[in-house]
Amino acid sequence: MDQQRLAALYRRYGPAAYARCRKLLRDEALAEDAVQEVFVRVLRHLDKAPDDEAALGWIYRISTNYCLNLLRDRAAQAEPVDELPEGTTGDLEAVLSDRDACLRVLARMPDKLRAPAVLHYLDGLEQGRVAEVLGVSRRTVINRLAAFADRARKLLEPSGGLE
Amino acid sequence: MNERDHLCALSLDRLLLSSMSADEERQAGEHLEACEACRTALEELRADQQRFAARVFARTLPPLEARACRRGRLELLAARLGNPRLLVPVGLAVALLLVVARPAPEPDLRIKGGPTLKVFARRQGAVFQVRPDTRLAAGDRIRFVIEPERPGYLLVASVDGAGTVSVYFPPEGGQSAPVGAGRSELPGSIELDDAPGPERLFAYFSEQPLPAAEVARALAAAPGAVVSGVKPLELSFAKEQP
Repeated sequence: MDQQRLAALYRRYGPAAYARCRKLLRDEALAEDAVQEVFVRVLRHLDKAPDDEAALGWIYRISTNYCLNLLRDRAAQAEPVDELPEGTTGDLEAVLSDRDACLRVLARMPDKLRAPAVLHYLDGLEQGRVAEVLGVSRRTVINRLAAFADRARKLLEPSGGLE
Repeated sequence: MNERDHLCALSLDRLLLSSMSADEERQAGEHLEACEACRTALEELRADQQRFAARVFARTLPPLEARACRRGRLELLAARLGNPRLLVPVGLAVALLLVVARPAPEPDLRIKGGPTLKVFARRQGAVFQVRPDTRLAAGDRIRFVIEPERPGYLLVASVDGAGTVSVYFPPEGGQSAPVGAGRSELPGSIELDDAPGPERLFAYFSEQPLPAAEVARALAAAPGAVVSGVKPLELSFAKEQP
């Protein structure tokens, strides 16, 4: 039964999960590993898997968290600090819509701020959608995005606080 | 990209999954006609998904199905073991699924001059060290005791008979976890299942953390692979079917 359910979910949502992993990781081999890890986690919580449309948001959440954790771990090993865009804090949304800039800023953020930021700034989801995907209240999303923006602006200032 | 100006990533996925309402789909279609950025994003998404369908899905589904199958069997077994009337016949069946430790050079695994790894098994409340002549069964739980000479990082993974790689420690995956010098017991335990074929355990002690995904990829390609110059300690189990 588990086998059939997992295969059905993998067949339907695997392509979206793979594309999401590739978008975030920007590496086909890593994305291929990641999508399998995502569905190992799906298997662990198969009894909680929502049906139909909600399943896409659920798998989005798992994929996003897995990839962000992977990027964080890799960034902890080697991340050049001089590649952040500087002096562009006037339009934070424009800066963070760039994947590379967004991910470099994300690497310096606490875990709980990362997923809402990537879903909002990089993926373009409105706050209500972010709340649905993450399974938290809209108020929580608003607070976390505000905290993220505040920290991001400080990071992106010319002095940057990164030295 | 903002949802007010463009289609968000979730909307593009829903469009490709045909899970939008007719009205949503019409609106998305109208937006796509007028927005080159969203058309480009949709085409990139479609190309990635086609790549998955053509090159990834068929190759990666069997290991996932094998895991699901094993999980189903374990749940069934656990449910039966919870029923006293079935305890004796199931216990006999489990006893037939013997997992025999392969002869190993020594019970305490050690790279000369390096850290040691010991494996302990727990069965019905009794705990014993796994030695070359130890006979293990499905349902036994194993734990690891390590004794590094100096602080470092550890990752323990296994490769089962189907070639499926599982990271046992740290339980959350990610990357190797820091361990201190001296003897310590790793938290948690692993329940042996009845998956067929040999199972091999690998412990990577390193001075720097190793990404779990990198280790898993290397082990999938070549069990026992050296990762970033780190050679793992290995413990292999042969699994005999009745």
